[in-house]
Amino acid sequence: MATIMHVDMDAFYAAVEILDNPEYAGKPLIVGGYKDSRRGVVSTCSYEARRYGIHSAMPIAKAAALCPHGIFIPGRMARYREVSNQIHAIFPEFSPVVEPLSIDEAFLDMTGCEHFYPSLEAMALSLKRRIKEETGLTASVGVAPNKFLAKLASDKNKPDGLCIIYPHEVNSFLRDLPVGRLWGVGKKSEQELNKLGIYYVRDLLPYSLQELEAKFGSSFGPHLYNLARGIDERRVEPIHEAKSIGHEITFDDDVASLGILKSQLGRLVEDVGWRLRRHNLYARTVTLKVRYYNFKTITRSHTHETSFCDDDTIFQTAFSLLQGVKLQPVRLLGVTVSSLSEAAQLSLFQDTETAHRVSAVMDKINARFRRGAITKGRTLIHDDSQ
Amino acid sequence: MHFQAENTGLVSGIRLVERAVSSSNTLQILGGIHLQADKNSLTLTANDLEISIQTKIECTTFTPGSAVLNGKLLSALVRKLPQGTVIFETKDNQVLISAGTTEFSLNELIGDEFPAPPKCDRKILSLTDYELSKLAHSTLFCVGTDDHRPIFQGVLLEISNGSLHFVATDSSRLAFAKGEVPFVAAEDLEVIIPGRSLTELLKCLPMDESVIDVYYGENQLAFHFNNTVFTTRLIEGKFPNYRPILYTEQEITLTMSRQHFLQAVERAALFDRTGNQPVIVQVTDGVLELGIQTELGRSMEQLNVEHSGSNGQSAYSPRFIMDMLKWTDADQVTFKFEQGPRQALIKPADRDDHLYILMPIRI
Repeated sequence: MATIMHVDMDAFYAAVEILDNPEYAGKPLIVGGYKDSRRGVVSTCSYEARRYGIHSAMPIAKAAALCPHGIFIPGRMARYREVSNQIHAIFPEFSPVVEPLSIDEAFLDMTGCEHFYPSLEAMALSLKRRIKEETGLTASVGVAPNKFLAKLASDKNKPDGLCIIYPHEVNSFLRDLPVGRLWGVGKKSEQELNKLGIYYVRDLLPYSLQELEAKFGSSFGPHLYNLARGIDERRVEPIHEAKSIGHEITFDDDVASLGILKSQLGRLVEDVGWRLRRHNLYARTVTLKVRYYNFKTITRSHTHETSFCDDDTIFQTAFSLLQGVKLQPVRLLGVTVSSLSEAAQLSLFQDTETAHRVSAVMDKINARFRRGAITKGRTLIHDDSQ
Repeated sequence: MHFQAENTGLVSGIRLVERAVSSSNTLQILGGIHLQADKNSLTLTANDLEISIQTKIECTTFTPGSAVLNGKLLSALVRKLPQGTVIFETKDNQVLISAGTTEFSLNELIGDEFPAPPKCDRKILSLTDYELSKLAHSTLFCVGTDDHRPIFQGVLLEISNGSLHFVATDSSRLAFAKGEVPFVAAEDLEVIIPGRSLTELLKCLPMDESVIDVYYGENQLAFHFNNTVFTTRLIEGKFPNYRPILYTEQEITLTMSRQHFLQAVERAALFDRTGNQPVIVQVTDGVLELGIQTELGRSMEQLNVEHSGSNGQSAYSPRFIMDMLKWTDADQVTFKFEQGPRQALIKPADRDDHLYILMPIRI
């Protein structure tokens, strides 16, 4: 049995601000933009601010309405990264197998290492203490037999939390969780499950693997079946080198119009292309994912001879793949690029330089104003279903 | 149909045409070899609609006639027969094959008509098997694999002002070879031969200084040699205009031993595990430095070269450089390049009959 520890800093950006500006302590603090910002969204807020109903990804304007006397600041990414580096430098003291997840989150594979500590609790406490000593910040830690459960555990007693799920407690821990808390179950899937009378994880247990496969397809069905039983066999992957970059969207209503799918594809591509270029990477393969109304999911991909990072190549490839699949109501659409490299083989006949420059200029504009400030006409909705 | 033939001739004939036996199941008859016994000659034909191979061997015919037999099975059986004479005789939709004390009968493939090889009757070219092989090998390694762009999956055979050129590109690099041939048609011609067809053709060539006559027909090209005709479908479409790419002047010219250059790049390529990591090429006052750094480690080595033009740096796929250096036989090669997104050139130092253009890697 594995022992996995998930570490998640508490309201990280806000906590760093309070550390540097002690006068903010105990006050509602919102990081993401000034109060009069019309477009910003909340990236983190202090626990005091959360009492007003503010949460991350909420528009700043709405947060300002909920908490007019709150402290609103735009945030200092460079400083957060500095503190993050300090925290990530601590993890190797505890385990040789660390998978950094984000600026303030990581998985540590403690299998075998747990014997150095009198108990799992002492182990988790000692990590929390080291982070506090080193940075002055609090972290929430979850310990469990796998990644999925460890992440649920770290979230259990936030902030400054500590939660251990022992193997014999897995089922009782999961039983009463809303299904929306399962990894990979978003708002739409949750509604879908609710329609079948499945609200809590325990409601999933009576369904057999075959039944879930029939209802949710051969990938999502087994996923639900396993998670409901606390089964997750993913390993902690120390070198988290991006192998692919992708984005997908689940529609509110199933879409059967090629025109609408095309415009949605355009948006997905702009997101994927943006992230590809932010990482200074080039790709050679484009994969299209389509999930139909009946959860049947297909993927189609094409690999080019030369590498690319511009939106046009990704879009044209993905769109020609889309034209090649059966058109029936679509529930989810996704685009992924892979075969990534840091260097691009140039082409003799294609002027990739121009496409490259167009993307670079669009990225600059979007970075300066906001994502989507400039976009291609193809992302505008065109419904041809009538 | 009733004839007898010597085992050796039969086996080599069947092995030759077997390359055009279709392995797909869509049309059963295409999985067969067509046998046609005429007066003292047996014609064997296979045709997978992409390529068609027809060859004639000697035989003694008792009753002329024809039959289509499962190609893979016929080939496997005949190869295992004892040396000596083999007799074929048709009996009620079966062909009885006997050699010495061995005897078996194969069901004929019936139903559809066996497609005859396409007609090509305009002679455009004569050249030896060695010359054809050299032209093909000088360019085939550049053929691309992208199914969406078929013109990059073939080799351009171009007759222009009485000279013969083979050209292939996968769009990142391009190889050009000029032929020395005894006969070329007066009219200009451009056809694109599928890379796979050319590879199969090379395996069929006798390589004994035989002269090959090449005939052109509608969307088909036929190669005649000895008693064999190899016909291939051509790729439709327009090959990109490659001439402006070929004749660009680069700022830096280096000349060096092909072997030394090849060995240095081969060592660098060992560090390129993913196949897309560049070797950095830097020249400073007559010293060429090749460097590569990957997650496996780094390598750096220097070569003394004949150098004219400025100093400079660029980056290329080590595999692409190796390909050319392996397929040319020159002792000394010239490497011309410049900084920025411009193509480089590699060629034999003293000739212009084999040119290789490659694009750099942006880093």
